Amino acid sequence: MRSFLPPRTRRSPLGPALLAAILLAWASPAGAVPPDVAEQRDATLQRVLETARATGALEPGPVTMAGRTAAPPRLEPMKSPERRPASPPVTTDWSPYGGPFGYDQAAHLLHRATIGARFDEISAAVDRGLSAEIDLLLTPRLPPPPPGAWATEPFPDVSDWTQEMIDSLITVYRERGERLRMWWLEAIVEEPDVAVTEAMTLFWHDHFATAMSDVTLPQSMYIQNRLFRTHATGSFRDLVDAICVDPAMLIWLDGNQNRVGDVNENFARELLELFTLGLDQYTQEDVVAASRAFTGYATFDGVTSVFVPEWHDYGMKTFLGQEGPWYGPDIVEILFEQEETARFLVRKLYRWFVDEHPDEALVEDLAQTLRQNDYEIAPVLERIFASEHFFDPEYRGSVFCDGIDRSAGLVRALGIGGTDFQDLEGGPAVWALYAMVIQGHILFEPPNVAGWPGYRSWLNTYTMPWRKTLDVGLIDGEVSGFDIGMQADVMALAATWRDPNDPYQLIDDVALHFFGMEPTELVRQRMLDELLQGAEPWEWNLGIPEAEDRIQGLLRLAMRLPDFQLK
Amino acid sequence: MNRRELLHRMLRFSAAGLLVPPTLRGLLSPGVLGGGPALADAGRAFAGRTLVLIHQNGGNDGLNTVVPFQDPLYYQARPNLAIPPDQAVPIAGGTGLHPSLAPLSSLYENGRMAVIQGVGYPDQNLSHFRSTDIWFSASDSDETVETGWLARFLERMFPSFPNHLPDSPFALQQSFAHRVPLTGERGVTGVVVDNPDTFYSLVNANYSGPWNDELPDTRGGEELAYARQIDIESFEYAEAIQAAAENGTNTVAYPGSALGLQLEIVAKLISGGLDTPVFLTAEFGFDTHAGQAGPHDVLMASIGQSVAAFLQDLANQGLDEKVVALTTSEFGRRVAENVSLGTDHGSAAPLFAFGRDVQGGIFGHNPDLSDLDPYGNLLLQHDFRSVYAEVLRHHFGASETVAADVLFEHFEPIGFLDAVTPVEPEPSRPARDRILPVHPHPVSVSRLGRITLAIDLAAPGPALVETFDVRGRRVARLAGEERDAGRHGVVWDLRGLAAGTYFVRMRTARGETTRKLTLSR
Repeated sequence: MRSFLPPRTRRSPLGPALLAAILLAWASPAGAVPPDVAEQRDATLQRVLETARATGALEPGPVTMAGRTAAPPRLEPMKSPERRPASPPVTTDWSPYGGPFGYDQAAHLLHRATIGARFDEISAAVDRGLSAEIDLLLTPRLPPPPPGAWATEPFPDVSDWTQEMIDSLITVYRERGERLRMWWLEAIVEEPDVAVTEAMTLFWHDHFATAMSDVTLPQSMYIQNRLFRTHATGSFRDLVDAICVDPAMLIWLDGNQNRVGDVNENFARELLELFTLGLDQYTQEDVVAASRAFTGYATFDGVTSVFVPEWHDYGMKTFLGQEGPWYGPDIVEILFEQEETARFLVRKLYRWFVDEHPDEALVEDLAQTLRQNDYEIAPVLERIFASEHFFDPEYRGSVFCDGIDRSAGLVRALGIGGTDFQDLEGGPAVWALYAMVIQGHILFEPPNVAGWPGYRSWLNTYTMPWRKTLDVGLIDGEVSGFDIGMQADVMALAATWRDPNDPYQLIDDVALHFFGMEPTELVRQRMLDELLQGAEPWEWNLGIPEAEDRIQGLLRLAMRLPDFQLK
Repeated sequence: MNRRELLHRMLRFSAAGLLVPPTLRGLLSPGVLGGGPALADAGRAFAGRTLVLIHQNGGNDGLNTVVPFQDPLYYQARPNLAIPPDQAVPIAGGTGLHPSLAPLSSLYENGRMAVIQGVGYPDQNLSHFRSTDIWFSASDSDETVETGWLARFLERMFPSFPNHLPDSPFALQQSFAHRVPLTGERGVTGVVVDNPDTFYSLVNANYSGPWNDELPDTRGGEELAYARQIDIESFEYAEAIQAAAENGTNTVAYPGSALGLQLEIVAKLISGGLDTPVFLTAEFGFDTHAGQAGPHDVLMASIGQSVAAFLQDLANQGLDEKVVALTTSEFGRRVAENVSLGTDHGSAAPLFAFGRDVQGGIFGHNPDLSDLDPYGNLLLQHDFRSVYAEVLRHHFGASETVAADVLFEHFEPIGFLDAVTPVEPEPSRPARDRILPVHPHPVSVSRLGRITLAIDLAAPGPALVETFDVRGRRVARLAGEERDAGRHGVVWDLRGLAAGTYFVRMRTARGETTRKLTLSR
């Protein structure tokens, strides 16, 4: 694998800038780094390499793609037994739910665990029962087929390309990027069965937030998405291991620029602050130590990663109190010895699935579940979804629907299927892009590495009126005269409700399906008035000529109510 | 359909309701939407004084913004990135501006630009997100505060917010949706608007309020109240913003940068008479870890040209007297350049304040590059909260007490603004008229012969408190006399009443509020 090291004079690993800039830098590598700086760097490199050779650090066997050495030089792992309790403490806080599992509970479970559950899926969940439904939700799913053969295509060596060739490549990549965005959106809309997979894939994208506009290469983003999807409910530790050498991440947080003597702290800082420990759990010295351990991991083609021995800092590093000649995986191992890592992730899961304000005792308990299950996510989710706490009426409707919930999710919930979002000129794609941009929730485009701020920030005086406009468009089939190429078949939708001929039951089912919380009497009354339009309740049934108009009107009203924004 | 017609229709619509007792239909009054006496206009309360905040997102490189062009240490630390001495725009001995800030030099010469050196806070946090929150919330480095300093200030000046909303929004934020700046202790104090026209038509077509029914006392109820407030605010403000945009004009061309477009709209709204005291704008892309020179130049050009155009536009229209613009950024950058030809996260950095009320000049000195912190960052000269204290006290006229309350402790103003006459807040009183919840609930008639209901009055005046049964028949008149603003107790004799649902209604000059009560045996 040592031969993988490309000649540095000709080629550099991919940088965190626009493709054009990268290509320019490649065209004149000497110009990218001033000669004196380069000299100084080379001297440092030389010195470290000599030390490394002298100590035998360069010999420890084959380097894998992930940069692990067969026998990485390291000190004795510090694992004190008291850090890993043998059995979970008995607690009532996450005690199993013992109440009935009816429509109310099934709707709550599916609102939180999936993106855009249909009403028939809520009914099916009631029939199945809570435990079987959770099993189904947590069953791993096969990923959808990739958006094209290009999705895993290495970035070509363009050093001798003409400007025209490069320009056309940029155009192709842009279009593929948009197609990839719609591919994911379509996967959400077309998810064949209830599963937590899409919600967790979005969760990981939010957690390890990486933006395509900076990474530039759509194939790198696809590969990262595939990683999130296949690890959706798997081991958090494995996922962190993999993300450290994920090509998109190496580009996004400057891992490619991180070399012995020229440490770039970007990745290590976010790994500690945003991916594992959280703020205030480490020092600036820890950031530097971790950065040094991660030197040498790079991607040259945007689809695979390599370890470049000459770029690694073989010196001793003290990270979180442990000293050793650490490599990247050692840093991850030490991070997962910290109890805070589990707490940090569990808090985020709690915010995502239960409520914005986690109770620390509940967090602690759930963090133990995560640690005892070797950082597997599924047991934690199972514990949440099966708990009395999760079904506490206190939390109905306390989570804000994010932009994907109220775009792709709504398309799915309304039963609008078979829509081609990958035709970028088509109405559905235009509608979806609008929805994502305006709500500030663009797939593959988090605002920064901290992900989306979430919670109340989804709703403001700008996003809320737009959400309503775009969502009502799904009932009308158009937005301001623009044909969006999708329209809900409300009569087919009504057929999935419990008793659409009973106006009171119909109102209840619309609220159950689209609101997080039972509506107040005032809201319920407005919905009933909208449905009946002055008629008596007994005059309503699906057979009256106005039935379709009335249901459309009711759904429009529902989408314009603030209740519609919460789940 | 205009807003008034819509409001009417919604009211008629709900008043036709079947589940609401007939005599309680009057409860669905427009009071909650401003039918009562209007809150003093936010902008008018400050005599039209306006603050425009320009946030430089990502951490602006202070050393290449205000350049110590005679300091050899600067050129040593930045062999590639330093602004050459002959390119810096000199403003004082040894201090110059980035060449692309040249449009600002005439402002500086005319005494309308203050350069405040070395602004930051002790224990600089190098995370963008934490540091941005610290700047927006005015917290200490090691504490988390989820409210914005300007939001807290506006709330203190207007204790009746949010029960009564001003005609113009307190604050208008453009282009970015950061949660902290507009978040107050009692709600969201501003609106996010990118384009006034679109905002207006969207809001009017989709408004579904008003609601004044009681929400459940759960986390869900709390968040629904928030969603409703956002809905009401957008509805309330859309018309005011639209009208201002229609009446307002721009007299100069703005650069096409993100900031230029935002300041163009801000100037238009000020020109159109929008009484909003706080505008928040932002320019993005200051996190220049690699290949800094080109992108930073573009950003400096955006700041220089946009601010110059904005102040010229206001001056042309005679509107510049009461407007102060202030730049902020979550941190400056490392003194030494890195090998990627960029700079890493740093600490203290200079800020700019612009306006007629500004005392032009440089506050503080060029940074001492021989005295850095252990990470190679600049030392602090001015706490950022001293800058805020300056704005609160000398621009908005807040008293020393209010400023210290908003900023959690006393910070001495720096002196870069002409002081104005202090403005008193509205006298302290409850935020809104309200019948407080009764505990325990339901109320046991057999155990309690009578209960005392607590009511809050947002202003002095008569308060009529009555109770009704589910059919809308009046059960009792509990109070009707004049009262001071504040909390009062009202006694309800329960003897002889059947178990069941009752409504307590309070009427004041500002509107009506109701609470449902259940009596049990």
